[in-house]
Amino acid sequence: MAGQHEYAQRQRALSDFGDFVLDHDDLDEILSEVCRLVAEAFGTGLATVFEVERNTNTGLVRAGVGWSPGIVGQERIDLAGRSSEALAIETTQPVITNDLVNEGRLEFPQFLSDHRVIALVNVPILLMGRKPWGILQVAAREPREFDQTEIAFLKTCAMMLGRVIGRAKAAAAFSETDERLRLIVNSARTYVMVVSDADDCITDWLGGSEDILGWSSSEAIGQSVDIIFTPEDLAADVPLRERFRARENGTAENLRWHRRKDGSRVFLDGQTIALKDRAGSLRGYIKIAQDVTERLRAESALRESEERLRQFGEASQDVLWMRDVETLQWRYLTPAFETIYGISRDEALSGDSFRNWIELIVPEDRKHAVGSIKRVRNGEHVNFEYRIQRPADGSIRWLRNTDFPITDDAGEVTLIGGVGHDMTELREAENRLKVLMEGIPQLVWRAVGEGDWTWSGPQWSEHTGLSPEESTGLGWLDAFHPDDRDAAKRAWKEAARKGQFEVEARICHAASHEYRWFQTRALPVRDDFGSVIEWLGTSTDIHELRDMQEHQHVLVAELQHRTRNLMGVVRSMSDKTARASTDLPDFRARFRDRLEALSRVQGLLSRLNEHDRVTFDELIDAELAVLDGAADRVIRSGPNGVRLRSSTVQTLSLALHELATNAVKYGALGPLSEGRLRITWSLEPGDTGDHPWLHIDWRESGVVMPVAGSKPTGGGQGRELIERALPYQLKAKTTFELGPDGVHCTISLPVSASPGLGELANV
Amino acid sequence: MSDRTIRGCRVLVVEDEFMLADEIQMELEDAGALVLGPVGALSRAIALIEEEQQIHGAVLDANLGGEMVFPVADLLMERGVPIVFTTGYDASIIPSRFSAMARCEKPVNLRKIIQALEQALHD
Repeated sequence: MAGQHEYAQRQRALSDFGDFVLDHDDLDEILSEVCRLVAEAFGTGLATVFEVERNTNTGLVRAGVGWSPGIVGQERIDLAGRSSEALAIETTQPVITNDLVNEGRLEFPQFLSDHRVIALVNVPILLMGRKPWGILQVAAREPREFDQTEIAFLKTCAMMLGRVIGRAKAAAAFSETDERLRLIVNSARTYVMVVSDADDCITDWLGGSEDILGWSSSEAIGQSVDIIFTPEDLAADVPLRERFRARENGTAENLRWHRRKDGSRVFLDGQTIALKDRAGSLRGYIKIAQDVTERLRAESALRESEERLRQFGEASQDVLWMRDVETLQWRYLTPAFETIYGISRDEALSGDSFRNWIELIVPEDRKHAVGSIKRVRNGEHVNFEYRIQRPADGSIRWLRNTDFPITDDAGEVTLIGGVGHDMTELREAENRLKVLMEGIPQLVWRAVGEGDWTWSGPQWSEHTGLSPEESTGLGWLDAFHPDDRDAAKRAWKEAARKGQFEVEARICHAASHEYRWFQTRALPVRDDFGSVIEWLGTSTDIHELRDMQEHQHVLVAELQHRTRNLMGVVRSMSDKTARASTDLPDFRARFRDRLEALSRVQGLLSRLNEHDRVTFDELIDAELAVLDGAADRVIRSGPNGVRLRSSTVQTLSLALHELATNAVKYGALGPLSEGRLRITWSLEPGDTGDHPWLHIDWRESGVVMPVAGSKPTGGGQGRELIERALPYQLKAKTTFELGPDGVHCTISLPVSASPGLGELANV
Repeated sequence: MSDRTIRGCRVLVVEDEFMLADEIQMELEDAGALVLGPVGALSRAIALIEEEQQIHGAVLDANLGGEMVFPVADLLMERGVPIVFTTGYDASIIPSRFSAMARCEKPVNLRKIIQALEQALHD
């Protein structure tokens, strides 16, 4: 009966434990309770639950009864050795030790000995799949046998513990997962996460739903999911169709404007997912989406900016282009291309557009253009000029390009940008100006600072023999006459202050090695602020002008000299005439006659050019022409063209006039005279051979001469001229004698060399 | 010569224009001077100066048929002979080394020549 009593006691213990487990979910309480029940059922007062710790391979005393303080919750046993507990874990079978003292195979933890334990049973606590969790141990302080029913009782207890522990672990694990999910969902603040049931009623309002859409969780839950759709979408049944697609396909794209609590709009990008159970029946929906309103606005702003740039490009008169950095093909080309190049963009872009472009460039400029593009490819900004020939009309256009690398965020060159400017008109204007500058007779040059030449035209080089390179800086000074260089330098020192440079200086003519006078001038070219950018200068040949001016000075001086001398002559003449005159009417007649003779000779002289000479025949004819009616009594013979020195003409003609006047008044040509006048002249080489001499013979005949000693028949003044003035003034040799039938006078004087002297002498 | 006139003075006349030379000669002689010359050429003037030991004054035409009279003036100036230049040009044609000498522009007032000579001789 004792067995029956014990059996009933153990059944009751199991039943109590079952109740206890149902009412408690704290594992430590359950473990302590099982230890208490088992120790009581076995009457030993000692029971323990060990929990295996895999990482240390030890067993912790997780619960126990009958032990000294400091054991439960603290004591650990080694499971690596040959202990009874290790064996139980290893075999997953109960290990029974009836007498520790006589047990030779196994070792025992020290704390059992310390509590004078003699016998014990270790039953493994197994989880699902016979995975050991720990050990349920009953210990006794006296030797005892453990029968099969007792072992079966302990195994039942251990099995119940295993189930309880397994369930607790699963619950703990689930709660952990649940917590993790909750944390994930709620920290996803940038996502709208809305869960709705099969009737479209919101059940969960997660993540950033409140932040993004405005409704709080409590406001949203229970409402229709339709509240977040815009009125237009609602009117167009968008929510219905979205849910339909989600049901059919599992997910539905969800990329549209949604409505916030305050009525404003938010652009969501995400999906609506149909939630179905294992059987496939619909449980509800989850909508997960991101707020991309800002991104959308940024993209829109970028598109607008690109559109504005595109419109700039379309409107520009310069060609704008972009090329692929690898293939050099055009990616973008503005309409100005068609105006400048004269072909359509479609044509230019078809096929190999880089090759198309090269072929439009004139052959001489191709290498430079391609080289420039390659430099851009290596990251340089490049300006280059080239000419293209329009296929349509063959005309040449001058282009200036500014090309530059376009880099991505990483700094890699991805595109080549280019701006092409048509500068043909500018070029043509420059050319016209160049032709003008090189065509004018002045020497043209440019300078900066104080005479620092930067450029000189071909005229300068041609005149001076200095190349443009030799003339730059102060090199031009070499062409200036050494005596004029200081003046030129001084003029430059004053140029900035005066606002112009001006100097008259001699410049060497390379071909003739002669210095010629030039007027050299320059005016400043100023910028908008009035600062001098450079000087444009010309040197004008004024050599002949200066010569002429000098000559003019000489002529004016000579004229003054002659006029003043003439005045002196007139005065002297008037004095002498006055002395010889009988009364005023006589003076007037004589004086007028002489003045007229003087006028005639002035008239002859004034007709002359510098190298012309009055000839003797002209002089004598002019004098005889005024002898009214008497000319037929004159025989003249001698060569024409004997050139008289200008300085001799006046005095000689006055002398001849006096002779003629006397002949008319008193001699051969008088109104009552029967006389004759014979004038002969000849030209002979002079003694020294340098000047020829003119010999004049004036012979009157048939004149009735007055009686010697009577009043002289006038002629005093003529005689004085011949005998004194001509030798004095003309180095002439003269004779004058009153012969028995008239005057005989000879005059010999040096004259100008004549080209035809020999010829004339033979006449 | 203490009566402040040119009476008895030996005056060289160089003038290429016969009529003017003759006029000056007559005027000087009327004033009691003894005229040396007149001569109308540079070479003859130089020859005359070399011959004459005594020259008290000179009337020189600046331009002698295209030749300037200044070599003659230099010789006279070396001997300390006062000069009156007559010229048909501006007075500026006469070099500055002769700035102390009198000058008369043509047509010359003959009285002025004599006054200038008198002044030069008695200074």
